[in-house]
Amino acid sequence: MEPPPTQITNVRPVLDLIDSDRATSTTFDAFGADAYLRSLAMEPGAWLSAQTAESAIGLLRYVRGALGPGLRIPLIAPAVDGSVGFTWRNSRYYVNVRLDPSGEIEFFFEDLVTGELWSAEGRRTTEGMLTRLRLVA
Amino acid sequence: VPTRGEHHESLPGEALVLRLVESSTGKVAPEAFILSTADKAQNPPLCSVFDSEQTTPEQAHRLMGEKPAYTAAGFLPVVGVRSLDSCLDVIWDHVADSRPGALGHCGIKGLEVPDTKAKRAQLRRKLADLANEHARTGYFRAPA
Repeated sequence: MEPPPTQITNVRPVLDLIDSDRATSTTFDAFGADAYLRSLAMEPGAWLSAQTAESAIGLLRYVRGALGPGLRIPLIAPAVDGSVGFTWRNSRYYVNVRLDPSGEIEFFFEDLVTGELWSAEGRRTTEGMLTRLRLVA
Repeated sequence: VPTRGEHHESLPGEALVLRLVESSTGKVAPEAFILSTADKAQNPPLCSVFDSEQTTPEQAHRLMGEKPAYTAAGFLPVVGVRSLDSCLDVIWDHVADSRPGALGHCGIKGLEVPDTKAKRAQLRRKLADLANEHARTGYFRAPA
């Protein structure tokens, strides 16, 4: 179904970004990601606490340190439950890592070709998580 | 004049619903479909969306309290939502609110149905992909 003409007014269309994976890979460098995460915690009525933002910065630095610069800056998004998610994907693999306010990591992996699903959770990253993150690096 | 269905009645397949999201890049992330504690407490648990025929993104933004966290609106065709998984549907959710656009309030039902976290995460991935395929995203304010 062809969507009807947009009803959005007084907002800036960003369709040029949406169709491109560049949107997730070039919008932020590592410092930009840190600043963005901190900004999410500073908004009035923020979903994200400052502590969760700092933990997320630490987690992102850790996995990028462990896997090298080949692991791009992910799509970063806060959630209404106070968690923050990182999403990486390529043409075959998809990884979503969510950090909740208690510091628990929820890791989700999907092979978009075979449909294989894998998930894990805990307070630390595991080799199983890093192995799967390498697939999207 | 657009009409709405009965409370908790399914929307027609040709409807297009919008979901307010936080987006730094214009992409809709799977976190946009995480339910709040209040969402989960509903019967059934619903992910709030609005019928785009009855509610503009700006009206939805006002109805949701103009929270800074909502920076954009992502759009989802109802027929597309249903095609993702048989447990998903979009239903009318009448709310006691007389403000403009409130008549368009609906909810995505079924996100909590899968019995594993992995399957629930997969549903959120599919919904985000659908929103990005049917992108009509725009910012209410400049991203940070």
